[in-house]
Amino acid sequence: MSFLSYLRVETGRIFRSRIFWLAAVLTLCAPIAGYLFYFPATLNHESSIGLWIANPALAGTFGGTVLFALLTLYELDRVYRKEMASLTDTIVSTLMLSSSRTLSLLLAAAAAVVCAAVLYLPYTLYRTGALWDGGYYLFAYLGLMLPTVWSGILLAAALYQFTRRVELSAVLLTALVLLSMSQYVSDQFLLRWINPLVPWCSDYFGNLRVIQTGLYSRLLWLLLSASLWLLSLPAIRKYGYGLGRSFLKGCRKIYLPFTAFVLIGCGFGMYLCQPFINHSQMEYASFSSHPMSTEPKLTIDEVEITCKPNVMTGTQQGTATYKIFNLEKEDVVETFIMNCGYTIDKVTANGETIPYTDLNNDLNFEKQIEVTIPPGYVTLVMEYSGMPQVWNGLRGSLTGTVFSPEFISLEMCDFYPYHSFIEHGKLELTLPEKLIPISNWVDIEVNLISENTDGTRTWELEPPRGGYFGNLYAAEYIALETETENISAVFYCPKKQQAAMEEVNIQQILADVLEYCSAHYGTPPFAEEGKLRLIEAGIPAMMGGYAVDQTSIMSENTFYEKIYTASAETANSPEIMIHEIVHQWWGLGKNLYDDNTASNGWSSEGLTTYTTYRIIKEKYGEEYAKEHCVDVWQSQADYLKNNFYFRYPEYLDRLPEQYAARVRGSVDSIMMYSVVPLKILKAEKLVGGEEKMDEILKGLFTNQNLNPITYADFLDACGLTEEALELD
Amino acid sequence: MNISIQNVEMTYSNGKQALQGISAPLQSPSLIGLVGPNGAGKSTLMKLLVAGLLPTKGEILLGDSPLISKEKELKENLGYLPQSFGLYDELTVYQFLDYMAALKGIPQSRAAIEKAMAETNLSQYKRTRIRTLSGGQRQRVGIAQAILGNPKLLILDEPTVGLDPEERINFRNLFSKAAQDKIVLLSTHIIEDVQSICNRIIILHCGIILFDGSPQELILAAQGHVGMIDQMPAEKEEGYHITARLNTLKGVCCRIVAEELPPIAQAVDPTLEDAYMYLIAKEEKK
Ligand SMILES: [Zn+2]
Repeated sequence: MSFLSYLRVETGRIFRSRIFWLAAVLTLCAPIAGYLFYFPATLNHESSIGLWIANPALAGTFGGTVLFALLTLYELDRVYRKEMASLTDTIVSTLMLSSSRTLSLLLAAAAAVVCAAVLYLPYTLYRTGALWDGGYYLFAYLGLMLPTVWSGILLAAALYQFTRRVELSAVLLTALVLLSMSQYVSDQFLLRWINPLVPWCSDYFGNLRVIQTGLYSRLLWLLLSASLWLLSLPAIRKYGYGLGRSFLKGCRKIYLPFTAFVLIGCGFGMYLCQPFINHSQMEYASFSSHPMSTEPKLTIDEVEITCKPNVMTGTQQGTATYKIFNLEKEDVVETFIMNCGYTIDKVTANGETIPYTDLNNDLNFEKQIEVTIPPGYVTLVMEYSGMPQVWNGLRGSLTGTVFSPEFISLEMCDFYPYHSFIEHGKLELTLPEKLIPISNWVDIEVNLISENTDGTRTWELEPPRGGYFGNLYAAEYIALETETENISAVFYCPKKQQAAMEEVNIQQILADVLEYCSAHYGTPPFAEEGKLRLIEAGIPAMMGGYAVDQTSIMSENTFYEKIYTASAETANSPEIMIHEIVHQWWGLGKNLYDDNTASNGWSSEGLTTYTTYRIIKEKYGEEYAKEHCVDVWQSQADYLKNNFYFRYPEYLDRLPEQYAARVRGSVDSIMMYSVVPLKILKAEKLVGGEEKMDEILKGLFTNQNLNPITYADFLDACGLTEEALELD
Repeated sequence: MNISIQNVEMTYSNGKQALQGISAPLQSPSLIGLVGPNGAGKSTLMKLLVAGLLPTKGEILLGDSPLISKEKELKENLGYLPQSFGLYDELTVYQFLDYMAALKGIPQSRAAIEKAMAETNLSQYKRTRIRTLSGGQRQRVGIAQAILGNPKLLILDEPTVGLDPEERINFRNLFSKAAQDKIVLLSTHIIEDVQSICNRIIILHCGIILFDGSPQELILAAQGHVGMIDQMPAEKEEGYHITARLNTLKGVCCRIVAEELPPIAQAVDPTLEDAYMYLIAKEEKK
């Protein structure tokens, strides 16, 4: 009872303090920074939700946390500095009073955050229009901002209670802020405190993973700051003692350190057992974890899978039934691979439960499961469930397999425990009725087999290639058709985006690219067979794009409407989309590869990037193309030239693995995407201009030779030497 | 209420010894004046009594148990005015007293606050922000919060500092009235403050108790050691202290205390102040 009355008067007092009002008003202003210069959520994708909800809320998170941490230091220090404590400490327990003081600051902060959410609501509604997402708005303010501000208050109070010095506490808090913003933790959602990791915001494909990781990390920080705060309560100075004696005396209230350590334990548990990112190495392993035995000991005739994703929790539950013939007369241990986030719930062989081993040896996206298969004909049933995990190498972008109400993306090992011997596979997938699944492989048909009474629909996939189901994307897709003289194309985009896409005449842009490439290089291989398919995949699954037979898959950020509507001077470049369509020529039509690719960067990416530049130049003008392509390549190449590790690669091995991987990855991609295009541009000048180069490229494209085009082939066709194309 | 100070020593962590072997019982009702020069250990003793400090040696009992084990009971019955304190400037006088009443857990706080404001002559400042109060008014707010809720133990460290003479008299009366059913411990370095109201005086000097008894006993002890001399001594004489210079018809005379009065002095009845000076002077000579 008395605690509540302390809380009442403390809160009343805080609300009468001018400094509180200053902090509150500045906190209310902080989101404005998200409109003006603080853009952490739109570095990769300028979505409406990112621009108008996430950026302001993250700016508010940062500003509010700093302000309320400072307010906390001020309020806690002032009672000693101005000697109010000499009146109050003798009549109430300092522990109770300090607790109610901190709690009243938490209440005041909550009021400020709720006010901020209400204040910015009308403008946000106006800016986001049809893309308004109320759930995300609540998440941004109440799920990210509020807990972060709270943890700031608790940490500030804890530090002050330990040190009893404002400036030292402020220095420690600043160090924590700097650490949280440093590159060491930039890709680790759990370690970022004041700047939660929001690598993207999706307007059309949902934000479940960012919301889940955001809430999870906030809970972790709340736990840690609360435990530190609890631990600091015994340190409140008493009887004129210093830190040590006060703390020892305070710890006689054993429940304080006990609860603190329990919470710290929970925090560690949460850190170690986070369910979102797997524990693979960060560098992509070019070898698969799936062993390919040369002498098969068994055959798998068939697998039948039923998958039931739970889109609300982002998990799935599945059953895979394998028809196996074990050729040996004894048990055989076979290895299956599946997504690291799943667990096997049960394995039966001919109805009997059999043992299995989850090796938990995460590599890339998958881990191995060992199952002991009895001899003869076996019906093996594996039940599995869980949340698919993001590959550790992509932990900074949080992209990958996802089950969410708006979007589902599945790759090979995310469907079921995969095995490469499977002759024939069939998969039943039950999805919310508005989600329409499309496979990236044109020959994997996806058929609706039943409409269920619970608002779901069941789809069936029967791939022509054994148990390989390719990649599957499901969203509320509609198909926009484009016809040109030679080629027709169909573009699958979310229904919600249809109006915006039609307004910018996306079909015309596609047609332009298709016509440019057919006219300059010739018809692509898919033209005779049918349509080119373009699939828009959500940014929760990936950033960028890729191409397979007759299909180019591009992520949401590629299609961002601003790209197409903005004038040439201010626009983001549409190059990823053009790039991925061009891959139907360079890459799929003609592959470019070389034994020396690892060192000279020669690959399909070089010519694709060059062609993209040519199309952009034709559509948007020379100046735009120079700024968005050539200048970018040049600055990347210059960066590489000055890069210490590029010049002295022997030092690379001395770096920790994750940094070495990052450096190597960026060196490779700069070679492929910037250095090689610059060399082709140089060749263009040397052979006598664009028309000459187009002729040479057409010659290469229409050459009947099925081998990949090597760098030497290209040089021969140009009549140039390797030295002639060396960059200055 | 019954408090017993037993052989209490207090040495601060910087090595400064503030109290050495203090013992005294405190019982209600009583109004005790704690007198001594600055630095004698008065504030330290008071902080020990409110459990703001813990003694280095010895112990303070509340009833039969150590004070530290009865902190809750102590806090519930305590009104304390420290020598220096701060107020929340952003609050009005009423809001501040309401804040303190909540901390003290006073039921029917409104009536208690009105009473405390009336007794400290603050009723007219009820809605005034503390920021705008004068030094004397702030001191009165400090006293008001101490007497708020009529605590059984009232400990006031230099309560009348900064008050004008008329207010001092008011507060003397107030404390004297309050002491009828409780322990009031009042520290001061001005003997005048306690002269008329205290039934007991404790004189502290350099961390030890020089005297503990009634004012009459203190005066009695100085009997025969106070005198008047007609004129200023030519040069500083050893052996006596001038306690006052008085302008009389005959010119300036001096009131002196001494172990042995000089022959030129005419013995007079000691006042409490004389007695106090005598005691301190005697101690300092040692
Ligand atoms: Zn590419």
